[in-house]
Amino acid sequence: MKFTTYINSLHELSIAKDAGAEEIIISAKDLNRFSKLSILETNKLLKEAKKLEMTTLLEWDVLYTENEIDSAIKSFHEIDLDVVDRVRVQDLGVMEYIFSNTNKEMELILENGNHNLFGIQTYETYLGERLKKIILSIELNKDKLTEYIKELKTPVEYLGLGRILLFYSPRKLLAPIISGEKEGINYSENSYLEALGESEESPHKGFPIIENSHGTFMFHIKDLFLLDKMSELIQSGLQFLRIDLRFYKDFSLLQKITKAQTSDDIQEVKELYGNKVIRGYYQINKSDVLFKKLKNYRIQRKDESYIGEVIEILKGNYLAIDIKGSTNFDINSHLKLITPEGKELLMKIVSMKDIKYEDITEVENQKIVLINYMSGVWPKSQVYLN
Amino acid sequence: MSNNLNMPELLSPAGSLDKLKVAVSYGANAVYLGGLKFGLRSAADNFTDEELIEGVKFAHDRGVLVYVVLNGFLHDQDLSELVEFIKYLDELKIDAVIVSDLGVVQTVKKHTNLEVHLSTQASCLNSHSAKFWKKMGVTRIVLGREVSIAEAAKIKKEADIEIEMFIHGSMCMAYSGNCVISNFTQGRDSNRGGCAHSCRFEYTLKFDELDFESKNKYFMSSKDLNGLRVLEEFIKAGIDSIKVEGRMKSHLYTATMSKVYSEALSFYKEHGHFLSDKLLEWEEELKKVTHRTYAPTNLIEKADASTIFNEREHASDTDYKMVGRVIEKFENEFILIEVRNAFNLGDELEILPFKGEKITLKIEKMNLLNEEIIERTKPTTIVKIPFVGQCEINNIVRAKVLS
Repeated sequence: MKFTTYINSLHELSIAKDAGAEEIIISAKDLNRFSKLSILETNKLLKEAKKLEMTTLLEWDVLYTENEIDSAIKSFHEIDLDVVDRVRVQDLGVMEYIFSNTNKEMELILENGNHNLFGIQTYETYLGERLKKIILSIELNKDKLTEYIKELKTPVEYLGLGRILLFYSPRKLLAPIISGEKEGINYSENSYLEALGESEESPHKGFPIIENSHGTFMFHIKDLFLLDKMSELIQSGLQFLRIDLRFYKDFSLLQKITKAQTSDDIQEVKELYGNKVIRGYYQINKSDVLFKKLKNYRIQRKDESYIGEVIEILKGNYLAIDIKGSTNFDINSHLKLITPEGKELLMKIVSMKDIKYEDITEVENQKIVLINYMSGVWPKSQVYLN
Repeated sequence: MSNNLNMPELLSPAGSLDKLKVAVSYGANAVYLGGLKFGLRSAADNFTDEELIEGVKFAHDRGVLVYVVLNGFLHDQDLSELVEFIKYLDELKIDAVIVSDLGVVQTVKKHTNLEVHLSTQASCLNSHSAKFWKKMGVTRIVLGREVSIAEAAKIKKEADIEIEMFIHGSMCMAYSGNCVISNFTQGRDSNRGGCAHSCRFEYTLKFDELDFESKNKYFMSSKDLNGLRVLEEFIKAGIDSIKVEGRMKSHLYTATMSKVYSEALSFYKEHGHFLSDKLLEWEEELKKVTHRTYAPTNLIEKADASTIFNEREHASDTDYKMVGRVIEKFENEFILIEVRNAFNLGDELEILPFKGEKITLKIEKMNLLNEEIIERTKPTTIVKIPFVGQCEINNIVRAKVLS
């Protein structure tokens, strides 16, 4: 397993080289969500990295609408592509552009969704030999990660340490607040702002938020930390572990990370890192189990002997049933009613009226019928022939 | 003057079988709905397999198309369960599925002959991306809500593919599919139907570097999209389908949106312009459903600070509520209303006909089905009121919300 990391300066490049990193991710602010480098600075850094015989990865991960992508393509062509080994892309429009208009090797960022192997393999087939790496979602747990690594022909990268991006909007959401409330400060289109957000409606406090020329980004209050799972990740066959120190104060931590051998070393890294950390969905992903609680399945119709739904109850008088199913019934039918609370009630129809309040013995074309009252029944109770 | 322009399809939400009937009856050309799984609205009623049969029949009998959403970011296990469902959809002859994940696109192509539309959840924003999806077998793109109408026209031309755009409804502040706040803070996968709407929460923001704190901000909440004023731009741009957001919203919302936009499209088809007081009337109608402040968001220009809905959500003075639905009428005798919200004897109600002007009526007599005279209705009751000539079964009955 190799490490991959972002660098933003010659100083960081030198540290990365010393730390044994064989490949580095570099990008320009026009193409990348968080880079602050100009095209000139990017080209310089790429050249220096090549001189050090490192693999250079140009990350182009901003999402673009039709008009914006034209301008980004111009910026892309200002990059000295001779010193770029591969282009890392996320927007499928950017992927398609690189694939159809250049001969560059590619890395595909599939961290956003892409939680089934069939889809990922389809990308793999489409891009063929030019695809050199797939960056997988941290919502895939370790079992899925291991399975995918085995099944994919392309090497895989997974985040090992860094911020967890929760939200990406193209709109500027911080500047309006500052402009409206903080006097004496004017912000341009390209201003860079940072804030911490908290809400009384969430138990989590201190979401890091960044606004830059590409929009607004919110991160988890804790960073992902899987370095203590390094041996497990190596065993899984993972080819690349990404160490993202872009938002961390001291890049030299990379040296300690790449040299860490023992659990004590990892613990030291964790303490030095200092930020609160989590393992996210690495162990298990059960993010769909709460769905069952989002609605009442008892009021959902199940067919076969389905008749309809109780829509009105006049105490001591009648139950009105909206006939929705195709099951026949008549005045002597036995019914089963399931209330919204899940209670099952049995009853026999002994009186039946139409909506003109006239007695009937069987249902013909009626949409609504009134039957004898029964206590304990609530509106929305589902009615079945028993 | 009749117009030869190709008019866009009006695509309305159908959160339940009842709402499907409402959308179809009030003028939608197509409806979109979800089965019990695989969509992004786990809390919506959605459709059982049997309701799907009834819903598809109801829509197709009236010449209305039915699209089924399968737009969750599905996991392997979901995909294996999906096959049976999409074969069922194929048998039902639904008109398309709406999909956001490449694995789902390929699964549908492999096992069925269904048309595939790409969901806005995939955030397809440019023609290069549209070309890729077209190669994957997609026949229509529901563009990301960050794309302007002018950009959409360019994408349609460059990629030579059908284009669908949202014209009305709630907006994600994030690029669709690019928000996982619920996943990591509430353990609910927002991209499989568990969105907890954290973007609508009230936040305090601390700007440490500026030594500044701002409280009570709804900084991530977007105003609602309203594209009525630029409907002509959609038509001229050749957009194939205009979509109303809101499978979780009320019957009144579904009815109002379907009625207003279908009438507006019909007007344009007939007259070739919107130079009419009707536009103001339609705008007033759109204000009568519960909504956040309206904005055109990205349709013409990039959404700026004015599109942030920085306030607590509340009912506005213009809001109406649905008080019921006409469920039966007996010529010259009475009509029956299934009551959803209580109203009183003497109240002024409005019946929303499928076409044309609203019917205003003052309630002067009300009975229960057993002829008992009442002065106030209760929700989940059926009441008889004197016959109203122009109304039809399934018309929505509404009343102004009194503050």
